[in-house]
Amino acid sequence: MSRKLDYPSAADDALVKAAQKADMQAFEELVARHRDKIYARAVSMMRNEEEAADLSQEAWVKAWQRLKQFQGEASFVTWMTRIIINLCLDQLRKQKRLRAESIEQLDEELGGVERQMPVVTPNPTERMERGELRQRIDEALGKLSCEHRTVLILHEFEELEYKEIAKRMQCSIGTVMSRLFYARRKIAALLAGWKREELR
Amino acid sequence: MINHETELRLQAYLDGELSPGEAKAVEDFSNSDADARSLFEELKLTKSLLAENELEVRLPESRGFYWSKIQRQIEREEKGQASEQAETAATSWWLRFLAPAAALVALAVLVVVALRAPKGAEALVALDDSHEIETPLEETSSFSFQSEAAGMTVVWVDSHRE
Amino acid sequence: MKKIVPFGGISLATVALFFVYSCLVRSGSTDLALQAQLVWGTNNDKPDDPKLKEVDAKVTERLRTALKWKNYFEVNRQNFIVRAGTPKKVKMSDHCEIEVENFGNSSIEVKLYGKGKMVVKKTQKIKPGELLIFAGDDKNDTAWFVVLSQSEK
Repeated sequence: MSRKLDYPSAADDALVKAAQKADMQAFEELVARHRDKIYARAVSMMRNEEEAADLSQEAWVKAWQRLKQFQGEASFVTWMTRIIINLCLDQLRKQKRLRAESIEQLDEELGGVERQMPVVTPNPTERMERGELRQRIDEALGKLSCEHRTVLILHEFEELEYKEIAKRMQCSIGTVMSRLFYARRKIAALLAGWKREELR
Repeated sequence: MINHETELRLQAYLDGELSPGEAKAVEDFSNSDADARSLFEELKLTKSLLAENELEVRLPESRGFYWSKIQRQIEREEKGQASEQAETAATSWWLRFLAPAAALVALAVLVVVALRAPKGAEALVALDDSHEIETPLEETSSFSFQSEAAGMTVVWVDSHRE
Repeated sequence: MKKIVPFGGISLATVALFFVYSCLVRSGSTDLALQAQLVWGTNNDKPDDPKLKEVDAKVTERLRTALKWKNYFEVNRQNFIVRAGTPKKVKMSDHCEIEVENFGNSSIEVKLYGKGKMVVKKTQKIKPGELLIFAGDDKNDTAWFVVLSQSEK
């Protein structure tokens, strides 16, 4: 006779196996463990908390429906992150179809703007407290176009390779590289700009 | 001043996307060119700042409340699927036991109606107006929207591979 | 043992039913004359393929109302008739086909095939003057469109 699972102390693998046999309590434990991370990813991509909450809820429902397909080739949280990223990308594409792009965004897309930015030295975030730094970086991310922000998130936070990002975003590797380059330079320039303002 | 292609190669070197041979060439170049070195250092700093400083965000809803929404949606969708399957089962039962008689009756009715209908009459079969979409492939999703001003419906097909 | 009506007999009756029905109503009254255009949308002023012509100005204006691309070029155009009860398959390009079924009363079901696989199926009423468009991304921020409308008489 198998012992009943101790949900709070069970490893993700054990919870997934149980959930695959329709154990909803096991699935609820997985949700409780990883909901913040999935929500945070959605917030960083969508820049809208309400939308992020809806999309992350949808991601969990999809995960339940597809759980039998999960073979453990990656960790459960990696698999979940993939689901939420795809949902966010779908939603961003929907929004992109229907809105007119601003001239600024078109300029960013065409490239060349980042070449006018002077190289930033020294470290503009020196002596900044951790909390303040995270806030500043988040603010800087908010100033990027959604394409540039998405590439940055997928590369820097999700650690995806160029090829994988290109596949997800349905663009060329060259486009990924240009967008990543622009995004990084823009972030550096913003952080340096804010530092200069403070020193005045 | 270094060209854009070189800038992107410096970045690719930083990200470990170059072959060992290419990486060595870029490293040597970067060590010998001051502009390249400065740019490389800036990119490296930005990369490390981002990697270590993603803002932590917590879901504002309580555990129980958030879970109850997910559970309700799962149950709703499972109920929807179950009633579709029940309809199919009921239809098969109907076809097996009642269809022969019904088919003959319907045939008789349609022959009479079709013979009596004036030329140019509209067909008897009409779909309901619920604008269904089906996207059977796992790696594809779709959504539709209507523009009344332009008098058009657009079905957008997205393909994404995991 | 319960005697079960053989399924084959039922199928035969059903097929006969629809055959008779479709013969009787096939007088051309429910035929639908449609036009399908394969279109490429881009923000470039000129298409990659210089042979492509710009889409009709009225259609371009309508596309611009709802979609973000500036210019639309026609890749292929097919005019065809769909009879009620007889699905019609139309090849738009080497990789793209559509199959249209006419249910009468301007109601159609359209299946879009990409490289032989059905990608999407849509049921829709298509009145004269209206457009039904299937669309998707192409490389370099361009897009493809299959634009369906009733043919002008």
